[in-house]
Amino acid sequence: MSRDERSDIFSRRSLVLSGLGGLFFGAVGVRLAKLQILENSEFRLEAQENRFNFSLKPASRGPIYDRFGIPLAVNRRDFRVLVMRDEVGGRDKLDPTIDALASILRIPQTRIPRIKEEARIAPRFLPALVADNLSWEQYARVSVEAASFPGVRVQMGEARNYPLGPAFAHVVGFVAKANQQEAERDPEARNPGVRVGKEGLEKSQEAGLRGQHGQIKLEVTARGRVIREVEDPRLAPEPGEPIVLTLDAELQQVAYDQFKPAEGRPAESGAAVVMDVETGELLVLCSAPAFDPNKFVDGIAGPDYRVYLEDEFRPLYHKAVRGIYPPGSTYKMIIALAALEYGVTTPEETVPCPGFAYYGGNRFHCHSRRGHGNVNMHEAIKVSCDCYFYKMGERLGGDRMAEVARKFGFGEGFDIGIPGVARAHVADTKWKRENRNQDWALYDSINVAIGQGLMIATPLQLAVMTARIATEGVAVEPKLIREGPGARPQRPFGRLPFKYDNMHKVHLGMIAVSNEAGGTARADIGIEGVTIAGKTGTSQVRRITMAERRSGVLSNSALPWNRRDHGLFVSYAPAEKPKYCCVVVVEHGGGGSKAAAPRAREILKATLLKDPSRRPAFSASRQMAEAAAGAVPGAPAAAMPAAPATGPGSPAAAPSAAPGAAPAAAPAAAPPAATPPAATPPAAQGLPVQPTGGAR
Amino acid sequence: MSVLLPTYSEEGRDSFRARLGKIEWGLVLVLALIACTGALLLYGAAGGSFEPWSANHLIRFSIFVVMMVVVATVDVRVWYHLAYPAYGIAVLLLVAVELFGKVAMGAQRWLELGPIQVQPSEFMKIALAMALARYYHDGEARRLDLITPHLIPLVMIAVPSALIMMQPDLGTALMVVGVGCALVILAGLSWWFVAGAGALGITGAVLGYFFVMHEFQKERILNFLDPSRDPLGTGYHITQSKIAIGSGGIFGVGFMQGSQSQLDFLPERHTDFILAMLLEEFGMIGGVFVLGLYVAALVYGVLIARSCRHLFGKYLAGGITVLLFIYVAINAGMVVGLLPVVGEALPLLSHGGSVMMSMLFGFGLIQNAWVFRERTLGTGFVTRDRREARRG
Repeated sequence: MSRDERSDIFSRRSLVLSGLGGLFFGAVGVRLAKLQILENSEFRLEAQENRFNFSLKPASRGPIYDRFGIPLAVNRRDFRVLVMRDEVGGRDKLDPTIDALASILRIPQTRIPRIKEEARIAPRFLPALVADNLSWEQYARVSVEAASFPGVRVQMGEARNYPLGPAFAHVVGFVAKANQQEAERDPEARNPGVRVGKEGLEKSQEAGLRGQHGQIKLEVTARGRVIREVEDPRLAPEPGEPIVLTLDAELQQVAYDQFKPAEGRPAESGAAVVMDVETGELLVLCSAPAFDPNKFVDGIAGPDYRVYLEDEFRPLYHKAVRGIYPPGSTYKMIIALAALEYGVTTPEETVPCPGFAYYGGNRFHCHSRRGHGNVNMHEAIKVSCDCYFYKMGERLGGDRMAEVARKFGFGEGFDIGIPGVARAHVADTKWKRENRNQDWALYDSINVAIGQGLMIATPLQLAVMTARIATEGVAVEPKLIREGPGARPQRPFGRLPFKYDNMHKVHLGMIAVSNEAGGTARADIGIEGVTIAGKTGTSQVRRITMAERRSGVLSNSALPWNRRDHGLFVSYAPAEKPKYCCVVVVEHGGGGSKAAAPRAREILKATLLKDPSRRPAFSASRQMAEAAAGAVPGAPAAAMPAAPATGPGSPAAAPSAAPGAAPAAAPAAAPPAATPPAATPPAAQGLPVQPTGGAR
Repeated sequence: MSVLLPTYSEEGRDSFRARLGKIEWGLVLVLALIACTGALLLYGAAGGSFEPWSANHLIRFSIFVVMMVVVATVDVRVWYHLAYPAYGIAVLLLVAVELFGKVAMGAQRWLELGPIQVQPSEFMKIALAMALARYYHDGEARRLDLITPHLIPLVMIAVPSALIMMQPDLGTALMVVGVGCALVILAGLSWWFVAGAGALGITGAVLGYFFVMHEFQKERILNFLDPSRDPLGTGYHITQSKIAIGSGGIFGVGFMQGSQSQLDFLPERHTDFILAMLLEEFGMIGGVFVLGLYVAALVYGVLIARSCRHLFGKYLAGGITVLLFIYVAINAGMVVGLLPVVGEALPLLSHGGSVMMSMLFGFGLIQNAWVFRERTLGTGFVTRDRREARRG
C-alpha cells in the first residue's frame, strides 16, 4: 500500500470515528437537556432536601401533679455542653478539646475516659454530650471560654426531675435514654435530648406525656456541619399533656415514712394503699422502701444499681400493685359473707373452738392455743377465730369461696394507668387442676378459708375488697389518674350481687375488731368521735411442723427476716359512715396487729385530719386555660417550678410537714393545713375547708 | 478548512522562531480557555480561594504550555526515533510499579523516584500512540487491511493494558486499549475484522466481569445500572452528581452558589466531578461552552492529523486526539450518568498534574505534526528527502 492510499484510508476512517464521537457528544447533550431542562424542578427539590437537615427538637414532656397540684415530675431547665466531632477539626483534636472543657467545668478525672469514648462513637451528624446539668457558674464559665474552641456548643434543654423522689418512684416511674429496642421502635428516641418512660406512669402514659417532637431546620453540609438554623413555626414541638393524679403527696409521704426506721422500730419493707371508698380515688399508693428516680434519668451508675438490686427489701419492686401476699385473716370477711350468702350457716350458729380442729386426719391450729370456746360469726370475725372459718371453708368448698372472692376484686388486674398491676389469681378446683395438675383437697379449703395456702392477693386488691365491704356492697373501682392521658370518665359503680343484710353483718364484724372488747386490733385512732373498722392479718410464709408445735412455736423475732410472717391490716374510717379505707402490708413484719395496724392507724389519722377528698382539687387544664386568658397573675409556677429537693431524707414527722411543698406553701405548723399546698387555684381559696369533714 | 488551518507550504529546516510561528495558536487558545475555566471552578470549589487548587492549576498550566511548545518545535525525527524507546521504558516502568509501586486508594499506580512520583500508566498512553504511529509509518508496503500486520500492534496494546489492569486501574487500561484500537482502525484494518473483534470484545467484557474484575469495579458497574441500590455507598456519587446537574437548569444556580458543590454533597468536585459542579453553577450554558471547547480541540486534532503529510504525524495526532476524546467521553459520560463511575479526571479542567502534563505533552505532539506537516518522513533512520537526495 502506498502512502497516499493509506492517507486516504486515514482520512476516511478519521471521518467515521469523528462521526462516532459526534454521536457521543450528541448523547451527552440530550442527557443534559433531560436532566437540566425536563427534570430540573425535581432535582432542584432534591438539592433542597439534601441541603437542609431536620434535627429533632424534643417536645416539653407533660408534668405530673398530685391532686392538689404539687409537682411530682417536672422539667428542669438544663444547660449542657456538646461537641460536634466534625467541627472540632478531626478526631485528633477531640481529646484535647474534651480535656480543656473538663478542666473548665471541673469534671472529675474518672469520668473523662467515658466521655471521650462516647464522643468518638457518636454518629457524625449528632453532637456528643460532654456534660449536662451545668450549674450557673459552669454555664457562665464555659460560655465565655468555649468561644475559643471550634465545635463546642452550649445548649439549653430540659431534663426530667422528680422533686419528691422515692415516695412516688414506683407510681410515677422515671425516664431514661432509650435502649436499642426502644430506639428501633421509635427512631426519634435516638436523639440525645430525648428520654423515654421506663417505669410507672412515665412508661404507660408515654404517648400522652411525650407530646409531638418538633424539628430544627438546619442548613448543613454533606459532612453534617451546620451553617445556620432556619426558623419555621410549622416545625415547633407540641408539648405533652399534664397528668393530675388522685394521690395526695402529703399523705403519700406520711405513708412512705411509716416504713422508715424510727424510735423503737427498724426499717420495714411493705406497701400502703389509701382509697376514697366512695369514688375509688387512690390517695396513697406507696411501696417502701423505694429508689431515687432522679438517679436513673441520666443513667444510673453500676454500683448504685447493684445496691438496689441486692437489697432484700426489693426497693425497685412496686409492692402495692405487684406484691403478692397471702391475705391471712383479712380474708375472713369474704368467707363470712360467702357462708351467709350460700346459707351454709346463720349469724347465730356457734362453732366450738378448742384451739385446734381435725380435717382429713390433719390437725389444724387456731392462733389461740387455748381456743375461743363457742363462737358465732360476729365473735369469730372479732377474735379472728381460725376454727370457725375452717368449718366454713369445709362447708363452702373452693369454688364457692372463689366465686365470692372474685366479686371483691381478687384475681383482677385493675387498669389504673400504670404498668405491671398484678392479677394474682383466685384458686379454685379448675385452677388447681390446670396449674398444679391436682384435684382440690379438703385441706385447700381449710387453708383458703383463713387466707392462706393457695390464696394470694395484692395490697391494691385488698384495698378494693375493703372499700367494697365498707360501702356494704358497692362495686368500687380504683382510680389513679384524675386528669390527662390515661384518665377514664367516672362511671357510677354498680352493686355487688349480695344481700345488704349480709354485707352489713360483715361490716359490723369489722367494726367490732377495733372497737369491742376482745377485738384483735383494739385501739383508739386518737381523733375524738371517730372510730375505725379494721381487720388484722398475719400470714405465714413457712410451714410450722408438729415438732416445732410441741417444743413451742418460734417467735418471729427468733427467725431470719425472710422467714417471718407478713403483717397485714385492712381498715376504713369513719366506721359508721366510711370515707377512706387503708391497707398496710408489712413484709415479714411479724403479726398484723403489731406491725401493720399501728402504721395503718397513723396513715388513716393523717388522712382523716386532712380529709383530702373534700378539698378542691387541682386541674391542670383549668390552670392552663386561666393562664392563657391572663386572668391569673402569678399563677402557680407549675410548669417548671424551681422545686426544692425535699428529698427522701427529710423526715416528715407530722402529716402537715408538706413534703416537697413549694416555699410559698401553707404554714407548716398547723396540723390540718388550712390551705392545700402550693398550687391551689386561687379561685378555690374562698371555699370553706372542713379539716375533718365527715368525722362525727 | 483554510480559515481554520492556513496552509503553510515552506519545506525544509526552519529556525526555532519560524517553527514557533507555525504553531497553531488557535488550538493553544482553546486549551488555555479550558484551563482558565478550570482555574475559575477550582477557585469556587475552594470556597473562593486560590488555595489549594486554583493557583496550582494555573502555574502548572503555564509550565506545561511551555513544555508543549518545546515538544511542538523539536524536530519530528527526534520523536520518531524516541517512539520505541519511550514505549519500552513505559513497559519497564509498568513492570516496576507492579513490583515496587506505592499503593494509593487501593491500587498500585505510583512509582516513587526520589522526590517525584511517576504514574507510568499516564506515560504509557502517549508512548503507545508514538510507538504505534511509528510502527504503521514504517510498514508502508504492507497490506494493512489484513490481520497479520496488526498482530504486533495488538501485542503492543495488550501488554501494557494487562499490566495496568493488574494495578488495578480499569479506566486507564480502557484508555490504552481505546487509543491502540483506534490506531489499528485508522491504519486500515478491514471493518470485518473490527466487527469480529467487537463481538469478541463484548464476550471478553462479559467474561472479564465475572472472572477478572475486582469487587469494587463490579460494584461500580452494578451501581451505574441502578444507582438507587446503594444511595449512600458507591451509588452516592452518581446520585449526587445527577442532583447537582439537574438542579443547575439552563442558566445554573450561580458561581459559588451551588448547594451540592459548596456543601460537600458532590464528591471529588475538584477532580472527577468538576464537570458536575460546572453544570450546577453555570447550567447547560456553561456545560455547552466547556464541552464546545473540547470539541474544538478535538476538531483541531482531527484536521491536523488529516492535513499532516507524513504518516507518523497523522497516526500520532490521530492517536492523541482519540486519547483526549476518550478522556472527555469517560468523564462526561460518568458525570451525566451515561457511563459507570470510573475515576478519571477531565484533562485541563480538573485539578491534577499528571493528566495535565501527559495531555499537554500529547498536544505538543499534535502541534509538532502541524509544525512539520509538510516534512516527508522516510522509514528507519533515513528520511525520504535524504533518500531521494541520494538517488538524485
